[in-house]
Amino acid sequence: MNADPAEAGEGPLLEVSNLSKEFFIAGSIFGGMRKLSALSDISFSVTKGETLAIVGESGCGKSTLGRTILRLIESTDGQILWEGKDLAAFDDETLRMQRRNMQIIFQDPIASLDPRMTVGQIIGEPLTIFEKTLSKAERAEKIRAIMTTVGLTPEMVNRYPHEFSGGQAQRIGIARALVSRPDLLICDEPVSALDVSIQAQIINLLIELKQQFQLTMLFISHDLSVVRYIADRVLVLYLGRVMEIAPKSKLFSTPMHPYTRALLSAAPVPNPRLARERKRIPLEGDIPSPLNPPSGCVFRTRCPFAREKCAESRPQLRPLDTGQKVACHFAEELAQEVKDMVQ
Amino acid sequence: MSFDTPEGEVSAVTGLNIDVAHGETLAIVGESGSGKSQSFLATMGLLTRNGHATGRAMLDGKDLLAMDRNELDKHRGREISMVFQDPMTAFNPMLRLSRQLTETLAIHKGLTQGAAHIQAIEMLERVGIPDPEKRIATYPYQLSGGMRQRAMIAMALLCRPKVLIADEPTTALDVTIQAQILELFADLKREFGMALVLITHDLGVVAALADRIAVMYAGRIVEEASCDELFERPRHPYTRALLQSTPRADEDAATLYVIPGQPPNLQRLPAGCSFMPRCPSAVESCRLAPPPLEPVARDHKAACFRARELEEMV
Repeated sequence: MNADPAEAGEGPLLEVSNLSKEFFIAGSIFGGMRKLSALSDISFSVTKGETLAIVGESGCGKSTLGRTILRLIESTDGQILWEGKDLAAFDDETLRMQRRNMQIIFQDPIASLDPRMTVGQIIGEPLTIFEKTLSKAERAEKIRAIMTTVGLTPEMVNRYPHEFSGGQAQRIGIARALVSRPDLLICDEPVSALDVSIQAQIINLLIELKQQFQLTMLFISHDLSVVRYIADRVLVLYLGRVMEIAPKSKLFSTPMHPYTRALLSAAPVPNPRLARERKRIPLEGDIPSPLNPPSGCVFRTRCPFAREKCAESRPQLRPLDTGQKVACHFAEELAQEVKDMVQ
Repeated sequence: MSFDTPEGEVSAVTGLNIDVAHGETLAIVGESGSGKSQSFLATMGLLTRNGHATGRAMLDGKDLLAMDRNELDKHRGREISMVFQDPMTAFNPMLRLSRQLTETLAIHKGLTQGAAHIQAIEMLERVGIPDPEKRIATYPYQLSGGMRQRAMIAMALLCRPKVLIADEPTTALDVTIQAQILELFADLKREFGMALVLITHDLGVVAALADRIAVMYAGRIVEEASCDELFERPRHPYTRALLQSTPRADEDAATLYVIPGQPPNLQRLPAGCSFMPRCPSAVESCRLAPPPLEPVARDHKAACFRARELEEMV
């Protein structure tokens, strides 16, 4: 769904159109490369201050998407516009300086921190690149300030990553990402490696920081329950393709794609009565290999409602009256059917 | 249960008393370091070399902890077996499934290779592996994560154990696959009637499956109750906090409750209640001694001095 520029007062911060990423991986020992389509024809836009969640299971391409937007991985096809300017057209130096505006935090907080650097060096590194003119004292002050903001004690500045717990290490990662005051923060499964009690701390911290720094966020996650707390809109990926894009409230109340519905019905619910009573939309089998995706709709091999047409033609992502976009030939027809089934 | 470490002996689990009845599903819920996995690794004789367990672990009247290796080998895999979070590390990557599955039957049941092969295929089919005759000849890496988990469950069930211990069996799986595996557990439980011990960090995972739940914190059980009772009337402040800080996909909520602070360092546990430093309801007496696990209602125990007075605050 494109944001209404008139309403927002400006164009989208980030606009992705028809983005594709193919990897070529070694085939058999007899040679030959096989094409893996990690992302196919992805289009969406993000307005300033918005949090868009990107949801899907393993192999759906959600992490590749985050990295492609940062140009940590180069796309194969399509266009990424940053404030209306084509990211691919940036030369290396412009891209480098532009990156202060777009930062990322990762799933494994400890592994994403250099073990030989102190916390101060890690957090301060973006400043050495983006704010070369800072005096030592100014730099130290910025590091102290951001540490306090993310809930770290500034006295820890000379410690090494291994001395920190997973939750604290994730705070270090967040501090490093925010010290250069980016506009966009990409969060790649930032809480999935954390214990429940720590996960809640980090989710709430991200929500706070989003307000405080007026961040735009891409929140990549496999976990719809986490997304429900943090997202404004949700994009559902399956095998490298967009299945549905919807405002959060719509996605959780009236999901229109059978895959979204299945994901929701599979999410564990910490309520025994509800958990026993609710009916699941059973998804048979495994996610197909992205090396050999099904013809037509990529979800059809697991879709309980698949028909002949689904194998023959690929459903395009199309807008519905409800304000969401969905890639399913039979979305409207199925809506009632599935509703009856689940309730 | 304790571990020798370079910093001295660290107590990982203290005074754990728990039982599971025939056919019952007991869930052990806790965060990292709560001792939930170590407790059951100990009963299987699977502690690392620096680990020691004292006490008793009775399986139908026989003490597993008192057995020597030979004797234990006669029981584990046969009467009590275990599945793990990561099937890739539980299987030998160099051996075909057939070898790994038939081995158990040959050792414990004395079956011939041919008979074992047939039973192994039947079990693979039972756990929902399509084309089991073909799949049994594959190596573990050739299976998807979900299929590997099914294969490991098949291996654990081959000898029809009385007790199956499942340690975070769905944590590494995608959510739609997790739902499949949880449903499989429910079916198998009905069919085989074994007792199931489900160890997990995720309260959502156990809600549909557990009969009874024990919540662990810093090496102790802090609360134990029937499943519905625990979710509807949690008495221990930790259980309550855990429930409130679990994100839910099924309802809107403005913010998540946050348990302040960090889980305790087992090397420096407070003298009193381990949860006290993070507890919103702590009072001075919580500092003095660890609260015992005591009945607070029917089928419901909690280790909190204030469990009774906190009841009305739910």
